Formats: sequence, structure tokens, C-alpha cells
Amino acid sequence: MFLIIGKNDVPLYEANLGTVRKEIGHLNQFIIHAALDIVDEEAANSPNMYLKTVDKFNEIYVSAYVTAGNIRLMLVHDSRNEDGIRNFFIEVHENLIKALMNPMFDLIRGFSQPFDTRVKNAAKRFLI
Amino acid sequence: MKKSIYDRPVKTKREVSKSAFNFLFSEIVQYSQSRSNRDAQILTNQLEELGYPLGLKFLELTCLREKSSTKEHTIINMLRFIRDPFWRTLFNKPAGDIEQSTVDDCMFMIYEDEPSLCNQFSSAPRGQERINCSAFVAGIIEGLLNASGFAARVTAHFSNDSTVFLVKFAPETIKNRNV
Repeated sequence: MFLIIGKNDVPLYEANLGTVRKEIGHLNQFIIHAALDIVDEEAANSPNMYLKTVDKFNEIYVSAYVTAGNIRLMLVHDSRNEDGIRNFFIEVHENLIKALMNPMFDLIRGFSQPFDTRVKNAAKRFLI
Repeated sequence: MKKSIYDRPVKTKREVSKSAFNFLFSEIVQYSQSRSNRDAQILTNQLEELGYPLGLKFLELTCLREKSSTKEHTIINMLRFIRDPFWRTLFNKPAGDIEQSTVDDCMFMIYEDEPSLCNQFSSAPRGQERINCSAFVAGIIEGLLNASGFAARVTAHFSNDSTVFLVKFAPETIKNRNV
């Protein structure tokens, strides 16, 4: 489960990338929600965008990446793979900036199909 | 398949000619002025509002190009970031000096070395000499600071011929981010 969260905790993009093998349904949402406070606290004190694993719930981990404009990328996963996740986040971040550069882009209306394809390809390359 | 914005590199820098920028900017100012009812304050606010959404974009882009996966989280580093990489992205040269006000600790001044791009070809009509078209740049800086979590208000003022940008941070920001 991968989620992009914008200003005022509005979710902007959501994708199921198969990083948790067990079927946990909406538990994903709760885990990410619970980790948000920790992410905000760590992001305020760290110059790094990649915060590594910020929270853990049983065997499920949450990794986070906070951009300069305070857009949060959060990934729920069940295996440790720090470098893969870092590369995945960096790739998504770059595509996110490309989307932002489009003057017609509107955060509320969300991301277009090509962005979705890019994220899924990045997941195939770095996460599985 | 049609090429999308995602197929183009984002890290290579491109330049826009001064004439193209000023042609477009002059239209922006004229348009805002026609809707401002000849009120200098409304015109200034409109220019600031136009610049504001660009702040987030410039912040993200400049951080990606210059800092690769790190960001600024203290006021002093943020101001340094504005002075060099950010100003260089906008104008291809660093800004002038940055000073902290001796009267108010929350107030910082960013000076310009020479008249900026926005004022170079604009002269205010008689009676409206207070208008500074760099309000557009002030809006960008304000958007950038707010997007990165620094609550601040930025305004542009004339000092002699060049512009000085007044950055007034909220007192909480000064307290929390002055590490």
C-alpha cells in the first residue's frame, strides 16, 4: 500500500503495490494514519527527506519520505528493503515534481494515468 | 505513444530570454492593473497572489536539483537557500545581502544588488509611484516559505532604485525553527 499525502493531511494518491503479502484490508489505512504524527515530528527535526522505517505494527512496517514542500510519501510493507524503498521514493518524488511543473496541474483533481503507470513501474523495479 | 511531461528530464536547466519574460510579465501587470481599479494595494496583492503558487514548485524543483534528497529546516539555512540556489534558479545570480532587523527579531531583509527583472522595464504612472512589480517575486518567496513550513509574510519595497524584500516570520516559527 502506497499513499501520497499533501497539505492538511489530504490524501492525493493511493495505490496497492503488493508490498504486504497478507490480506489486511483497511488496516493499511489505520497503520498509515497512526504513523502520520511520528512522520511530522521526525520531518521537522531532520534535513533528510527519506526517514526510513518510522513505525511498526506487528510484522508490518511503515516507511516515509517527506519532500521539501511537506508532501509525504508513505509506504506500508512487510519485508525490510531499505535501499529499494529509498530508490522507489526518489523515483516517485522526481515524477511528482514533473507533475507539479505542469501549470494546469491541480492537486485536488489528482494525478493522471501516466503518473500512475510510472509509480507502478517503479514499484516493479525496486520493491518486488 | 504521445510524449508526456514524465518523459522529459527535470534536472537539466533551461533558460528563458529576458525579452520573452518581460513581454509576458508586462501583460500580467497590465491585466492586473485593469482589474485593480487604479488601487496600488489591490494591484500589489494581485501580483503577490499570482506568485504564491509558484513558490511550492520552485521549492521542490530547486531542492531536487541542488540538494538531492535533503531539505532545509532552520531559518538561517532556509534564508541561505533563498539567497543562492533559489535566486540563481530565478535570475541566474545570487541575491544581495540578507540582514536581520535590529528592531524586530522576526524581520529579515533580502537586498537586491541591481534593479530586478520585474522593475527594469516598468515605470508607475503618476500618483502610483508606490507600486513595486517585484511584489510578484515577493509572492513566490512567501509561497516557498509557507510550503516548507515557515509561517511568514513577504513584501517588496523600494530602497533607492533597487528592491528590498521584507520577510516577517511568525513569532512561533522563530521560536521553533531557530536551532
